[in-house]
Amino acid sequence: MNSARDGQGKADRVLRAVTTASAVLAGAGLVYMALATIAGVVLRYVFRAPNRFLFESTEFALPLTVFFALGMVALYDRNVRVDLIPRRFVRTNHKLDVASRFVTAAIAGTFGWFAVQIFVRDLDTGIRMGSTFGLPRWILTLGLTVGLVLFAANELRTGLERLHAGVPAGDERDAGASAEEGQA
Amino acid sequence: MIDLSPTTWLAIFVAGLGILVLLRIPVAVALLVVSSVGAVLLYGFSPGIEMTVVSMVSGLATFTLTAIPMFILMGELLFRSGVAFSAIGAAERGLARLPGRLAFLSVGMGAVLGVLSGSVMASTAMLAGTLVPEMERRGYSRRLAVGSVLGSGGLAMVLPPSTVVIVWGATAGVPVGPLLIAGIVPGILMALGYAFVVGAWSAFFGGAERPAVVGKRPARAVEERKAPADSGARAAGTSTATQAPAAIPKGPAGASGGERGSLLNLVALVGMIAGVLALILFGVATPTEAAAVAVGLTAVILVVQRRLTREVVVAALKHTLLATGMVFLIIGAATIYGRVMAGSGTVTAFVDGVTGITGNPTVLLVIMLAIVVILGLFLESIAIVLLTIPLFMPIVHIAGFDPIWFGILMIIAIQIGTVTPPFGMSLFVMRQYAPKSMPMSEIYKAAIPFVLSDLAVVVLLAFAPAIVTSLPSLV
Repeated sequence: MNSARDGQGKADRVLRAVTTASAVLAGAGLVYMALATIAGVVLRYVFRAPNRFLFESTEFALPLTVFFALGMVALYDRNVRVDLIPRRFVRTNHKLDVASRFVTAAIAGTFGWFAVQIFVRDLDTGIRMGSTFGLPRWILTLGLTVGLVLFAANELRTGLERLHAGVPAGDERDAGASAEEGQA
Repeated sequence: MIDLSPTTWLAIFVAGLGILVLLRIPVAVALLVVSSVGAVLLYGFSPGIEMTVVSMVSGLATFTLTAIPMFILMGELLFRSGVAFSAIGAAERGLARLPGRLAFLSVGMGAVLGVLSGSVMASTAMLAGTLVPEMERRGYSRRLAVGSVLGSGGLAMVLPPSTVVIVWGATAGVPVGPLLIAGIVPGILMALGYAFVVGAWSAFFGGAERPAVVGKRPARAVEERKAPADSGARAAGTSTATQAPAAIPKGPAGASGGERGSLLNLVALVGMIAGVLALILFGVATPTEAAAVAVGLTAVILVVQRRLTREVVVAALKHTLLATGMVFLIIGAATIYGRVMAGSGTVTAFVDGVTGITGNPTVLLVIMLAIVVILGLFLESIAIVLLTIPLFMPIVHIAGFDPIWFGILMIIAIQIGTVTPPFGMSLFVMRQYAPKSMPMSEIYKAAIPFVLSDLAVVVLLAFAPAIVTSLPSLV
């Protein structure tokens, strides 16, 4: 039991470390976009020398930044979900939440698998973004693969964590029980 | 390709998405699943999946969209460093002579937070987390407190540099710069409408504090001022443009730098926002370039004030990435959704269906705005924009509407949806911060005067398009 828990703790730490590393790359992308765009403005207006590479690389950096940030978005649970079941139905919400985490992980993982295949093919064919002088597309499909896999792994982690944590206190059964006690 | 009727396609797209979203699957993932099913049915398994994945990559590689993370980063840097809170403190002191000044401040703060965060949920959460408890403490009517925050939180969606406006422009093929500028006058009108509601409420129904006695501040008022400042110090490092702080927004300890410092921060903030908008308005820079320049200027302001610490930078980057990842995942997925929906013929069928009902442009406008308000009850604003653009833009062209004018009306309608009972998303955000004893029905009632004010603005703009289009026509 303890060894299983240790293993899970270790896997959790590894996942957090990889997600953080991916987020650092995303942060670098964000800083690059800001600097490259400012540099582009300065070159255009001050030096009268517009730079195409800065423009294209900023366009390229945006999806890369987003993909590398996907793991962190899942880790911090920032995805937009719609909660239509009233909060007092804690048990139902808990079950739905755990199930939706697993389903989301499965979907993201499946897309991650397709992204891997396209990445391998892009690497093989050397296809580029935009034009023949554009940047290679495999960089973006690699970023998408990493993002989707981390997204799936973090959703799975959260699902398992909440499954083991059980239903939070104050669910509808408790409410029903206390109402019955009150009546008695 | 499988031959399906437009009704079946519509059922797949709408019902499929609805079921997945109701099952608490993230909106972006639900969009991705429905789009891939549609793509597989349309183009076959391998080409369909490939189209989905490749569209995800290519759909995001757009220079215009880069403005979104830039503006979010600017807002985060200003919040994390305490400059924004310090400026808001100066604004509060400026309103000291007004009865119900905190309710007025919530309108002003809504405008500032809107400009800085570009997100209604974030803006509402931050206003609610800070001003509602303070207004309750000072004896305001609960409805006035909650209503003023609900209304003003929505200004984020209309005032530039709204994320929703940028996404709308980039997706609909409408120039983003003029569209952003077009939001200024309607945003100001909305804010004036809220201020009018607050003023009328204070005058006729009471429930607001009396004006402060400037220059002869009673000891109690001084104590009142100290308390929020202390709580703000406790909240140091927790407040953010994309996540609500736990206490009144005075920012990190020692961040305010005295009244003079606060005033300087307010001037710097207003000057920077005006400068960035001027860059766009006069065509000197694109919105993305203006956003990057704004980030650079913010960094310079923070360096001058010695506030650009490692902690501020790391926290700002982290929260910018979280917001960017969340928003762009929806954008990427919804882009594919729109493409597949267009490929299936659903869009054509929808447009034929709606224009078959009536050819009257006013009725068409009302139908489209009503659809948007209804969707706003359930869905996130960017998702609504991306879902409706492929359906609405052909109708906009057929009816001969100015796309900029229509875009602003649509965005205000989405904003109305977020505060409309029973499912408006801002109402649920407010539930977390409103007094525990306040039932949801009272929160609904609190929102009503502000929703009516928004509707009045929509009607005004609908019948006087020049209010929207005159400023961008200068660009």
